[in-house]
Amino acid sequence: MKRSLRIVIADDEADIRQGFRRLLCKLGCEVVGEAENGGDLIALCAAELPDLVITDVRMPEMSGIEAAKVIAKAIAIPVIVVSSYERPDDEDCAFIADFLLKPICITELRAAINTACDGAF
Amino acid sequence: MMNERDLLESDLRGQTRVLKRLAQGASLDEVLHTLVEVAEESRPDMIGSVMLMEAESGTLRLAASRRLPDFYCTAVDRRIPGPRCGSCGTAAFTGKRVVVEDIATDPLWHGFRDIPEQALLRACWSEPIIASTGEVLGTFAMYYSVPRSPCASELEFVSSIASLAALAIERVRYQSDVERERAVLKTIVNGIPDALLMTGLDRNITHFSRGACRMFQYDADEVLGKSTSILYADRSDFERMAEERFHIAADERFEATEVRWRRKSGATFVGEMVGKVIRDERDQPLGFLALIRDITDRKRAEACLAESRDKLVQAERLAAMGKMVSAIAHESRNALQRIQVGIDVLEYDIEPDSEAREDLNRIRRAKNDLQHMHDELRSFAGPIQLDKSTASVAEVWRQAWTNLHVLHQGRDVQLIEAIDDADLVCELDVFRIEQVFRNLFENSLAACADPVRITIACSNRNDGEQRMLCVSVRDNGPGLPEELRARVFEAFYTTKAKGTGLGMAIAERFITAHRGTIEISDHPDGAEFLMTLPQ
Repeated sequence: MKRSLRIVIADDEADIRQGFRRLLCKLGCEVVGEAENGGDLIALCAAELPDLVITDVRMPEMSGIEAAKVIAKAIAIPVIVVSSYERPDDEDCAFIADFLLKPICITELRAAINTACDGAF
Repeated sequence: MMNERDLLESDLRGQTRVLKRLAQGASLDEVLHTLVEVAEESRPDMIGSVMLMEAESGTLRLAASRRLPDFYCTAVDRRIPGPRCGSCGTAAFTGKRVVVEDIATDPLWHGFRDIPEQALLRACWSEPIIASTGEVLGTFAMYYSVPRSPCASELEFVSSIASLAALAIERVRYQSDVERERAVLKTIVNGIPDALLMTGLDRNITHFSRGACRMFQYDADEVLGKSTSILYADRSDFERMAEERFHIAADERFEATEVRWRRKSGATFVGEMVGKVIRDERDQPLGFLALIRDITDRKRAEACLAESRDKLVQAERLAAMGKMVSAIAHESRNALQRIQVGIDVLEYDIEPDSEAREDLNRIRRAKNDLQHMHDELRSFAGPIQLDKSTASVAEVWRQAWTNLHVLHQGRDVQLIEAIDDADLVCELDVFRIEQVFRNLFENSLAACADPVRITIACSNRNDGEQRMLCVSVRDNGPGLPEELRARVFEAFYTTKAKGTGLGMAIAERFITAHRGTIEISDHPDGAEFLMTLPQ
């Protein structure tokens, strides 16, 4: 395998963050930061410059999509959105690499990462 | 000159002639002329006349006379009765006999003596014609060309002639009242759209109205004399009505009874009936009367109303369910995600073929079931926004079939396509139409024993300007039982031991959202669903 992917994850539920962290580790990725809202996610990305962002949509202070929009303007980091809501129709989501509806299984997650990071696995 | 006895006999013969004319149904005019005729034949030196009171104008009208000159008739016609108004006018006013022995000197004729004088009339006795109610109907007058007074037999004669006239007038008036009433009744009976039937006490038909002919499709001749039992769809209703309505001691009842009736064609309908016993003046039962109203349209309207009400309730229930599903969607998906992540992580740590792995698989299946139910509820109650694209329906059902691979793996199943040269391209939401096929295939696979043959046939047709693709999905299973056929698209109705009962309700919802239709066909073998989709 190539160098471990450095991933930042954002979700306001600690259980989900922990689950994704452990799962991503099993997939051979490195979770370099966890955020529980959009603001923290932007800061983490600026500090860590990860290879990939996996974020929830609805979080306190700033949504995952708003955060992804800000990040996309500054740095070219692919963003996978994992949401418990359907993909919004009216949102311009060109800066989002993939939009997955919860619950997602490891197979779907692996496929999405592979697509977003151009054959990471 | 006749003697007393001859005169009496002549009077009696005359009266018999009058009564005979009356019995023959002669008009009042004819009867009164006969009356004057027999009076004048009996007393040849007498000139008779009858005047009638006209209620509307309050005047006396000359009704019958044979020998009074025309100018005299014209002069006395339309006189208003008064206390001193000649013989007839005074008799009509007072209601008492007036005997004027000499018109030339009698004060009752003061002011208009010249006319009788011109007609050479000198004496005039007038008898009021009085009805049984006491009402003055008119007068009978006897004129003579010389002054004279009546003897006792003449007074008796004038009195009996007036009585006979009263009888004739009342009888004719009664007859004409009866005829008018009969005409009104006939108009009502023939005019009403309901069926009106009369029967004897044996319940054999004696009258069958035009409405009845229209309603039951019989000509009256075909049913007269026959039992009403031929009109009842169920013999038990005929017997029940005998107990409830059509017996001589039945109470007066006005409430309608619903009965199923049978037309000549054999078709049945629901009619509301009011029935009662017909009785004569002495309260003796003569037969039965029934008024029947066809309430098919009303029943249909009530059914439509009930259906609309049900749909409204269903729509409200759906809206409430939609809100509920939306409200819990976020939290339930997050919960499912926590389970999913846990399963995926544990799968790395737990040995394959271990008991713990089996436990984990059970948790995974439970989570999948929960997710499936959640997705079905969302599909059924959540908002639908179609994401349409141009696609071949065959590609869609093939994808649905492929996705069900696990269900038909190891079984003898075959999907047969009978497309011919049908154009299969539609504008549709691939994901949702795929779910429709998935639900249909799942049902067939669950219902059919091997070998399972599911046949899809397609054709195109034009509905007005709209081109439609018709798709039939038929299996070789046991078919749909009658109870299920009526409720197959009803939400939460299922014959399976497991399942939400939403599969076909969702299919109908998705097809309807595409402005298409889905229904069960009447195919005798297997289950067949027919769909249309606009192209």
